[in-house]
Amino acid sequence: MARCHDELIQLYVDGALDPTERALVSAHMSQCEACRAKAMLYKGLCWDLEHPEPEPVPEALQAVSDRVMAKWEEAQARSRAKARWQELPAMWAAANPALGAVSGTVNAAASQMGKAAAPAGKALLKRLTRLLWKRQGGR
Amino acid sequence: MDQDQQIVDQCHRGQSAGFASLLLRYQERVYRRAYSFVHNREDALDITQEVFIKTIDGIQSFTPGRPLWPWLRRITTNVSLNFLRGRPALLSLDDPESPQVFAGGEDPAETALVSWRLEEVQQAMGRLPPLHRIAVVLRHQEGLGYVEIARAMDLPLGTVKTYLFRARAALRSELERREVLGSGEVS
Repeated sequence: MARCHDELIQLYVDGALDPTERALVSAHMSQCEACRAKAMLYKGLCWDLEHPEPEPVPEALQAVSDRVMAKWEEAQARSRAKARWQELPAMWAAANPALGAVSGTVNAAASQMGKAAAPAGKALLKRLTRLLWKRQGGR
Repeated sequence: MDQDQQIVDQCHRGQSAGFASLLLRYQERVYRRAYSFVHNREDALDITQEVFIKTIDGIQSFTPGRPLWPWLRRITTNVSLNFLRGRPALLSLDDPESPQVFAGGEDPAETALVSWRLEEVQQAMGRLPPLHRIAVVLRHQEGLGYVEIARAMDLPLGTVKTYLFRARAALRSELERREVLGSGEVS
């Protein structure tokens, strides 16, 4: 049996031929007992491949799960800390209603701080605090 | 609201219960899929861990309402392929130099015949070159089309067809030799 026939039979069984090719292979198989037998084999193989015995799950999977869960908690803690940094300048401004003139600066700074690393955020906040202090007349 | 959507919503709100549900629902499936790709327990566990660590970041931008499994399957496939690419010896398309000897030789009981056959098939799968095996798993266990497999494996369509053809021919030949499948030749 030629290799090309084998490939066509596989594609036929796998339903991967277009209608014309399928009709041609089908017509050939009606005449060829060897190809029919081979198609039956591939059909059986495909069934076996589609119904695997479930692989037993090792107990160590629970430890994997615990490690991943710990990573999730770490990520959430980082995310909450970042959110607090982003809220801080806005909270500052809200606590100082007389400083409406600089609220734009505060909001822009909040946006920058969301992107910046923590040390850069702290430095920015320090500058902002000084600015607000001066605007309030250094009281 | 279906369970996937509930999981995604809870994760978006940062609720640990959501991510715990995701793990509970999918950890075995991800492990089994990884195992079917690499046929090694420890490697499959490592891949499972990496898949879910990637999920922690990815879930935040995951669109609620979409099913989770196709996304997790894609991550599992990518992580498995990267794992194999990091081990060129494993990725060889040649047959292993020292093929493992199949256990057996005794007549299986009639009631265990199907189970025996499926086990033989799985063992034969374990001897396929990994890329061939991944293509077969995606086709016959995940039901992906040829184009989808090519996309998932980042390979040309023709290469995927060749891998599938060679894999199935090798499996047929191996299983015929072991008399798991009847001979296709007619007298």
